[in-house]
Amino acid sequence: MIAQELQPPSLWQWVGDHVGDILIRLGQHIELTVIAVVLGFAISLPVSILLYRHVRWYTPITAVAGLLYTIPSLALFILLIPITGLTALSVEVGLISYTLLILIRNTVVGLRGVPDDVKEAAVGMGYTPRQMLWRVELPIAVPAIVAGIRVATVSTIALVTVGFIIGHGALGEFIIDGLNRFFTPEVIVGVVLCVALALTADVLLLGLERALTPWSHTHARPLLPSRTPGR
Amino acid sequence: MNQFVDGIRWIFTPANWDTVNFQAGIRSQLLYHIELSAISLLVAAAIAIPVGLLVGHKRRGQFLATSLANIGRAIPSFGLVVLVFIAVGNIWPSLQLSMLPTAVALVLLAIPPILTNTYVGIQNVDPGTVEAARGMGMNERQVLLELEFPLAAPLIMAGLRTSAVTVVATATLAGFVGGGGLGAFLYSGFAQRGQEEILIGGAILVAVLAILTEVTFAGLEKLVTPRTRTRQSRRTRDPFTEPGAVSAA
Amino acid sequence: MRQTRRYALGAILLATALLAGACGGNNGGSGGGGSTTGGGGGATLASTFVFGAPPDCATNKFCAIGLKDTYGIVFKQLKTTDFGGPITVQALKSGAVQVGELFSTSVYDPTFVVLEDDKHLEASDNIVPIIRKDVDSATIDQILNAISAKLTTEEMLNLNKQVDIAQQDPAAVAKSFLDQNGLMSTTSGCSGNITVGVSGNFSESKILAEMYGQALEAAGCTVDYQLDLSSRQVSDKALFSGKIDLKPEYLASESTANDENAKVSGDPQNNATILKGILASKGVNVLDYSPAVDQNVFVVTKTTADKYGLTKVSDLAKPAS
Repeated sequence: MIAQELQPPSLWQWVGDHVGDILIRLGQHIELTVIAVVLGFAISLPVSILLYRHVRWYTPITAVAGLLYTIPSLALFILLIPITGLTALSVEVGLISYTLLILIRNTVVGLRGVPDDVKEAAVGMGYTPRQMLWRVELPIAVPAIVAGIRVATVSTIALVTVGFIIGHGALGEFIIDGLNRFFTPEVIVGVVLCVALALTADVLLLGLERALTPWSHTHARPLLPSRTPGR
Repeated sequence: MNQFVDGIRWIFTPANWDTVNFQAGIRSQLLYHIELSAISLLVAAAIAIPVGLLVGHKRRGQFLATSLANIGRAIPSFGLVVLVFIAVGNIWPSLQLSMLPTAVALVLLAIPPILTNTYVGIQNVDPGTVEAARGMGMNERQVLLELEFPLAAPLIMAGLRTSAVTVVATATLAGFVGGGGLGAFLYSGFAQRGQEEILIGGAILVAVLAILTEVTFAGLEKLVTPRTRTRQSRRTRDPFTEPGAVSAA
Repeated sequence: MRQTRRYALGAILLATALLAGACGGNNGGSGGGGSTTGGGGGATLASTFVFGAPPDCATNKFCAIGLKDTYGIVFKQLKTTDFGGPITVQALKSGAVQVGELFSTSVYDPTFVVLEDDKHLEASDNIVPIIRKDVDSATIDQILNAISAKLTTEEMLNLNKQVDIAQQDPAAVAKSFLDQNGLMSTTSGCSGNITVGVSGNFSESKILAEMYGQALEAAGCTVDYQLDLSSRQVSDKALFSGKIDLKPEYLASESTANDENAKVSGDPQNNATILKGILASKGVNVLDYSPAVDQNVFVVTKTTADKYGLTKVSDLAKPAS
């Protein structure tokens, strides 16, 4: 039997003792996020190009994506359990569906934003539609696309925590464990790391965007806030 | 697949609207959920709109508004609810199981979209129009309330819409911290064996409520969008540039 | 444009109708938690009390159903708090509930009074390791049974307290228990790869999982841990499908979870036999059970106990004065 009454560790003590665990959870969190965003992008890019070409499909498809987006994450993960089981797959499917609306919308906006005279000039120079897409339209759309990836990434990072319901919450597991024993430092670590990860990703992606488009650093349009997916 | 059928059947069983497993029924939890969401949204709006109007009108603090939007999006709602819940337990134990903890977290989550949209909405008003109004003799308060605010209304309503959906979604978590609402069905659904219909049915209810909220506010948004500005509206409000598309900043 | 307006108005009307439907005929059970419907109880003490319990209490024969059938107790209101955790404790302390359900190994507060289960409602829920047949071996049995033999209810409570109150690590707490009781490296005959899971997402289960895993590791096995399983539903599924090989469980609860009509009782031997029968068909062995029991206990604060003269559960059925 342990004789002495042990005191709860302070925040820094706890962090110091659990660096390993923290890094593992951080890694899980990053992994879940990256897979979701990459796959979301892989799906949304061809879909966006199709919607750009065939305008009449835009509203119905974005309506479906919008519907998925509105469903609160906790509910969506639970509704996926009968379909994909109590696995990381359910979490991923849910996360990916949340990225779709943002990515599709931003990509199509970006493509639509290509000035007509640029397109005409390209046609005049003999570009085929495929060349136009890959050499003109997509590069010009890059700022909007990366902006969409930024928003999708930040949102996904926050949503991964809800995966605790299926046992795949990464940093969210700190939060639920902290709740189960009213241990605030653990919850704080979960929340702070989540926010830090999101802001870091945001800054990195912003840097990526700047790097890819050295020609477009002056944008006078004010920031239009984007929607946070249903939590 | 039949789990979904069970869930839907559970929702449409009238007895369940009165009581589920001898506890609060669907009607009661739905009411709790809506009440919690409505109160939180109203409080958040009462804070965020005036501040947004002021900041937008004075055209200051843009960096703050942008950062707030970014951070607001980055905060995990579940973590915030838990933190506030534990904090309320330490400060005001008797209120811990009430709506208060979740409501506080919801208000905090709802403020950023409303604040940012209000601010941006005011900023987007053509400076020439504002100057003209001033030239016509309107004082600052009149400019703000009678000119800028109505013009910014669509964007403000869009912000309210975003926050409304977020609030309704996050209110589900109240059920996980000793509160009520539709989340209570999710919390107990996980615990009960052989009663998956509560879990699935509860999740369907949450999803439907969120979608209804979205549709309602989308309708409200259309109502406050002035028809006379159709041409202008189409450019700034067309589906491709709705809030959701973030331009490089 | 006009069409979308009509559509928008229609949506608002629908939403209003829903709201009106929700408002009309309110059942008075708002404010979370809920109420028990009518039923017996007359004017007992219990019928003036609010009961804080886990979410599965209402349909659990060791909770609400048993309280009614065995003790004739129906509470004024049943409030869902948590699984004998800090929310229930806080609710008791703040007076939000007068009676709370905790577990025999998680009553940490010395000022709480555990009401004696005088009519023996609760079945004996001894802690027991259950392991898949295809990874089980004599060596593993020996190691795990040795741990179970040394585990008493009081010990488990102390270990839980270190994790839940002193906020220590389950792994560290498990290790010190093994070291102090000479249960580490008693043999080196363990071979193979074992995944240890938990019963649910609570401290006690994690401590036990760590105990089993560390002891097996010290004896030579390779051990993986899967401590994020959120509930028994999840962990049972994982065990039966082979995602995990071993987990700590409870004789009575695991039995009734897999067979509603299991005739579990206050006799652990009886319960062990029942559980073995149930799990055999799923390819899972039930090892020796420990003296430690983790079962439902009904708790009041000292103030409440003194005020109403409560020492046993049947006191709650006394008439309210």
